Amino acid sequence: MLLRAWRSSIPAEPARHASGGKWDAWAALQGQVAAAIETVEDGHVDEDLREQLISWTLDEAGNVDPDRVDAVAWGISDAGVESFEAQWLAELTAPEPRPFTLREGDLFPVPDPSWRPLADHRLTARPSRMRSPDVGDLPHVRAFKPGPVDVVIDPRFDGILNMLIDELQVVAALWPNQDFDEFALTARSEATFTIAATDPVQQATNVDRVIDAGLASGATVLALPELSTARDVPPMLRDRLERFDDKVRLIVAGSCHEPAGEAWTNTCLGVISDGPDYLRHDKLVPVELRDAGVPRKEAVEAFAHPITIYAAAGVRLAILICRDYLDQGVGRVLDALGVNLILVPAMSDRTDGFATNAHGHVAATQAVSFVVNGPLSWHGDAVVPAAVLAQPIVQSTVVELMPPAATPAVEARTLLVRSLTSR
Amino acid sequence: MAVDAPIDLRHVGFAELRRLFDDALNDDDLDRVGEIADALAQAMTEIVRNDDLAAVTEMRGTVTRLIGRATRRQDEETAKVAIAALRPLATALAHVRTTLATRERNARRRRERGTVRAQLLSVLLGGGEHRPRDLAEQLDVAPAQVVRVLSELEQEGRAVKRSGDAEDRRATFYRVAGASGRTDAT
Repeated sequence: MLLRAWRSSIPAEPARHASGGKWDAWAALQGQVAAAIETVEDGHVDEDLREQLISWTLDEAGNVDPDRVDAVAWGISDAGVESFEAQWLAELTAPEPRPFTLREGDLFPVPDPSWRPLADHRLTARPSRMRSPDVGDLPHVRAFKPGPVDVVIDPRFDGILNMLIDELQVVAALWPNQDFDEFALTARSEATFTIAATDPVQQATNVDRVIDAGLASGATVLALPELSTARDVPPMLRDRLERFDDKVRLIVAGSCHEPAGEAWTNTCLGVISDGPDYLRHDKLVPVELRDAGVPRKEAVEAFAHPITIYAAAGVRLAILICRDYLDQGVGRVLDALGVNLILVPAMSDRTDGFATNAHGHVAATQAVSFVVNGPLSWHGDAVVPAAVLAQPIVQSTVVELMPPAATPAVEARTLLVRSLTSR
Repeated sequence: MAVDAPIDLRHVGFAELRRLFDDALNDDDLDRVGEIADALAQAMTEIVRNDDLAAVTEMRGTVTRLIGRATRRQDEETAKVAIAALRPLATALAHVRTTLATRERNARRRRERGTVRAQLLSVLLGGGEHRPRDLAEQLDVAPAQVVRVLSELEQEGRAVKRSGDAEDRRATFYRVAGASGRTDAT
């Protein structure tokens, strides 16, 4: 209620932009609010506290003062983000969890990077958007602004995702293919193409081998590169995952081109232990290639599908595919939503842009990014790096993984727990 | 049908629980589904009593994983019953988790305030009078944190607050206690 009141009374010249005494009074009230909320152990704002907060929004004459409302709202954002997020998730999951599309102006919580595996580390600087949010936003509460793509919030994996994050220590990049020569382009029209492995049986064997090695590495999150799987692979992976042991793990099952009516999609499915469904992402930004000197475009319609953000307490997970991660519009959407775990299968002959963008997401949201690119070489030329791992830890923010000597190959890396060795 | 042994989750790992749960769904064994829900509720009571966020997260994960398995077969009546039995446990665990996470965050913020306090004292000891806003920007700390710590330092007699100057009556400045006041704010 207070947040709604705040949104309807945002001062044109907020005190937080002022200097001197006006700012001091605003900050002092904010601190008072945060202190009051922190005294409530369960974070629940009861009737008494609510009345107290409302009274603090009034000036000496008993009128609502927009600057005081603003300070109270900032105090709530500062100290009450868990409560707001819990209520937000409860509304999304009652009577049963269901995905929903964000509409303009919908308020959504943006958590601090408070994952258990991060607890003992010195984190990178707070995101600038937390220090000085956009007009109409609070540090931890944002109002959705439509962008180039629709956004779906999916809370169905809440609970399982929290368990995954609590146990997230090792990630594994899986490379089933050595060279792009193991793939073939198929023309779907004069100007479009799809890509698949030329030998599906060998490809299935390669995927099997890297999955075995990846699971044996103890990784919590395993990722295959773009276009390295087929439609029948995710069910097999789910079965394998749930037979392997009783830990929660997530396999980003590469992707494959699939017919969708008269169109095509490049679809990545995420397989999480005992999930109610697969996580899913359909590629948004098609790639263009020269095929025998002829320019062709991937047979995928640009921005034809929404981005799905998988939400759990403190977790905002998105899966992207290759160029989606390099698209500035998509990046801005993720940053605005506070997405803090981005998993990216990729297939590219150059990967230098991924590390740059990974740095950008760490700065914007303190996000963990994991990009796995394959195959390891294009017509004999090695693609470096073969994977990028980013985390919001000062001593080891972005790590570029070198291609292994031969495939099938798995590189398992400890994430978030100890310093990594960069190339 | 053979009589199943009671389920004691202290001796049953998730893989075994998953097998029991799947068997109950496969056999349309509503009694067994009820026993599993009861066993989870009992284990939940013990875990909640210990105020252990990691254990609550794991317990909630266990419940939501079973719900996830049932959701994949939600066209089946037994699966619907299982979901209805387990969902309240997941909701209750979500509440407990929020409480414990909030408590943990508050403790973390108290620790952070300890760091901020040391940084602020260090700046104040460097001399001069300082505006809270400048200190917040200099230390990259949320304004609420800075004003709370400055207020604490003032109450403890470690810092002195001066209000108002010629241009702005409401402006506040802080200096270390015992130092003479100057207006060369940062």
